[in-house]
Order: sequence, then C-alpha cells, then structure tokens
Amino acid sequence: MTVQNIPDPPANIVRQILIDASVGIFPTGSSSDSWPIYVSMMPDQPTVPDNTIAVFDTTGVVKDRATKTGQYIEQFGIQILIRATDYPTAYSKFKVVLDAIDIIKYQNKVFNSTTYKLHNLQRSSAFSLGQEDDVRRRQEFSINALFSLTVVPS
Amino acid sequence: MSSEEKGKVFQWSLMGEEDIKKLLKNYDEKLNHRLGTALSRVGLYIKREAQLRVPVDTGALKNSARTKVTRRKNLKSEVNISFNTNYAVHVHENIRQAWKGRPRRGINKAQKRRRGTYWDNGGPKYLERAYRENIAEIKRILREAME
Repeated sequence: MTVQNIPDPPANIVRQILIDASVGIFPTGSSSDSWPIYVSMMPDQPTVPDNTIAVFDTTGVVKDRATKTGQYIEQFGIQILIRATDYPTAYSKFKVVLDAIDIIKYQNKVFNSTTYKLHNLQRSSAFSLGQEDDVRRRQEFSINALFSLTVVPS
Repeated sequence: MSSEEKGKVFQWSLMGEEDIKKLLKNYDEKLNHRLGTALSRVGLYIKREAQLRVPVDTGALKNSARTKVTRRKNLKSEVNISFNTNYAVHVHENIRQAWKGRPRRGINKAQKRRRGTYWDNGGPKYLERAYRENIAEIKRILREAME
C-alpha cells in the first residue's frame, strides 16, 4: 500500500489557510500580536498574548484511494485550540475559525512553493473545553477535524 | 417495443408473495441481531484499546470507560463508547501535555506521595486514537460477526 507523501506538515498548511482568511497572524513573539497562530504548541510566556490560536497534528486515517495513481490518500487529523481571556471573545473567534475552515473544498493552496489541492476538511467535533485551571481563568475551545489534501503535480 | 405493446398496462402477481415477505422479515431480524452483536464486539474492542492509551494515576479515568449498544430496527443500531469522569474531555483534548515527564505532586488517598510522572504510560486523544489506529481490525471484527 503506497500512501501519498506530503512534504509539509498539515498543521502548517492549516495555519496558512487561517492566516490567508485573516483569522490570525504569523506569531512575531510580541505581546501586542493580535491572535497569533502557533503550530504544535501554545506557549504561555508573558510575551505571548492570552488570545491565541494553535494548530496541532493528530492521528489521521488512511481510507481514500486515488483511482488514477492507485495511491492511498491519508486524511490528516488536526486539532485547533482557541484560547481567549473571556468566553464571548473565545466563542466569537471559534465561530470565525469554523467559518474559515468550512469553506475549504477543491481549493488550491500554494505553501512552500508546493501546490496543494485541498479536498475537504471534515469536522469531527467542536466544543468548549471550559476554563483553564490557571489563575487567569482563560477560556478554551477545541476543533477537531480530518483534513484531506493532495499535491498537485507541477 | 412493438407498436402493439405500447400503451399496455402490465399486471402480474407473484405466487408465494407472503412467504417471501416472511423470509425477508426473518432475514432482517437475523441481520439486525448480528449487527447488534458485531457492534457490541467492536465497542468492547475500542474500549479496551482506549484503556491502553489512557494516562493512569489513580485509575479512575481508565475504570470509567463504558460501552453501550443501542439496538434499533432497520440496521440503525449504534454503539457508544464513553469515559465518564469530569476531566475525561480535558485529558482527551489536552494535546499540549504540559508537565509531561515531571514527577507527580501531592499525596494520594492513602496519604502517601504520588508516584510516577504526569502522563505516565498514556496520552491525549486516547479514544480517538483507539479508533483511528485500528480501523482495519475493526472492519475485520465487523465482517466476521456479520458473516
């Protein structure tokens, strides 16, 4: 069974999609960043604002098969965490993120000079995780999804 | 179709129609019963696999795993696998695993120092991984039970 290789981590591609949709920005390490989007971590340093998004890679599923090439296509698992100072802020950003990822279908996206065809992003769950046990009592939301994409041959 | 056949209404009846209906009904019932058994096996398998992936401190989370099969007609039965503690969702979604590898703090119910490190022998997404990493085995169990 041959599975198609993706040169970039899916979480990085999802971050780029969110940045392109003006959901957040690439983190610069400044406390004045407005909704920085991190990949594979959600730092807690004083320089990192409370309102933050993080994208993580999780376990995927291999179940689709391209009829032309015979290759199996992996559906990559991703998790998007949204953290904010209060519940309404976290909820409104949560809805914005959902709107941005729900329209991904048959779009082409160039990332690191590779063109990807985004087939779909199937949300498996999206819910509030409640307050952090930290004294700051920040609110967190989580979105889980399966993300399917293929490399467009150049 | 010839011009003579055009406009004709065909009527036909099947001998033993009631017998066939009865056979189909019995077949449906057998299939439903088998599906219930198959789902029960799959549920127990996923539960076991998830329990192997749960981080264990006191064992409360691991022991809270439950499987419930809801049997319905017309092949609409379903199985639910759940972990029933307040913090189950938080541990499942805590992919950052802060404090992983650090020694556990505090004392346990027996008033002794807690042993081991945080996230010992487990990790987040324990239920999701139990399903996604074992899809081939789940399909095999389903196929065998339905045969």
